[in-house]
Amino acid sequence: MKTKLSKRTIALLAAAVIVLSGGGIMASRAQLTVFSTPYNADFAMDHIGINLVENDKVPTDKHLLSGIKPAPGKEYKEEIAAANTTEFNQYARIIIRKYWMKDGAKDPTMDPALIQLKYDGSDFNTAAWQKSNRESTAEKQIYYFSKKLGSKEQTAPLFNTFSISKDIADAKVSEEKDGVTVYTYKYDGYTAVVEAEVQSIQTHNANDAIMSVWGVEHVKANGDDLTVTN
Amino acid sequence: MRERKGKSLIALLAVLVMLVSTVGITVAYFSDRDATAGAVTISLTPDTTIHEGTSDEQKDVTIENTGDTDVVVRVQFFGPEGMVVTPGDGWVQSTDGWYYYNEVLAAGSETKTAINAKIEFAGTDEEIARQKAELGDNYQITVIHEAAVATYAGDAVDTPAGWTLPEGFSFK
Repeated sequence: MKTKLSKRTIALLAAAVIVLSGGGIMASRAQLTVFSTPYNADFAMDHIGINLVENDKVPTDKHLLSGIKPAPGKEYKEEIAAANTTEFNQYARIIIRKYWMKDGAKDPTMDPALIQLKYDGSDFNTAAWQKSNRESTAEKQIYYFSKKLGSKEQTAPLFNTFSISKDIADAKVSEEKDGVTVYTYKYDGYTAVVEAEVQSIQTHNANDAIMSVWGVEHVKANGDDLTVTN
Repeated sequence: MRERKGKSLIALLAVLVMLVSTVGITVAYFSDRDATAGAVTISLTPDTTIHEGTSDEQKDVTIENTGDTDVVVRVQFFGPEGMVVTPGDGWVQSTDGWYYYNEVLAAGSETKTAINAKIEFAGTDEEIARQKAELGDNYQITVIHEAAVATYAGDAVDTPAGWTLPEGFSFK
């Protein structure tokens, strides 16, 4: 037996189909945004807040490495950490970018590994932070704080020294001028740049937030802990 | 009656679909970020200035680091017979004839002490005058100095290539 649908029912069905299609398209667009540019996918709100901390202070005018005139191989105090500025728990990660510049332009042929941030001689503070090897390159490294960061708490330092490897003094070419050997150093006059960015997310529904905001599946929250699977 | 129930069910489903699809695309998470940056320029060319006084027969030498990076320095004197070198604290002579200063000079700093060199004559005034006349153009002291960018291995400073440090000497 056939059931005849009224015009009103058909209109309601049509509306439902339109809503479904619209929702589907919007959802798809949201997915694309999250995965193509994860750093721009943050839904920044006033409810949680995070600050980068250098030597126990928020860097003046947002500048790191102030006052350092680096001698090759010499270590300078450079503690980098993050501080929760709000009443809400957060998970945090720090992104470090290191590169060389000359005459105002970035030179990707120069070795970022010669710009060194370390913790007590090690690559970083492994007791409190985990490096995401999957997301890291020679120029960019991403480190996750292993614990939930409580209200108004500060992380343990990720690094505590900055140095320029003394290997830069070995990168040279020599030529004879009037019986004298003259060395030209490859890195002489180059500028070493360090960028640091701290990012945080809520701890409630953290795994969904990690996936949505940071766009990674290999980092999982479990209670107070954050685990990176490399 | 059954037809009316069917229509109501369809209408209810449509409303639910609208609600669910709306909720699905408005999920957002609290997050924040803070960024900063810094830069330092590398100087591998030592830039020093020698201060040596104005007298031909006596030099009081200090070295000033006028560059942008730590350096280590050494000096050497050439003069006639009778030239006497008196190193101040921190200056140590090595077997290669150079005098090495044992402190690293940070950018803008200067050796804390001078190293002195002068020509000493013996005899009466007449004999001294004769000795000076005999020396002629050689009656002077020449001083040369070298600086090298300090490179570090931990707290220790490396020995620059080609330098022969005095025995037991280290830069501090």
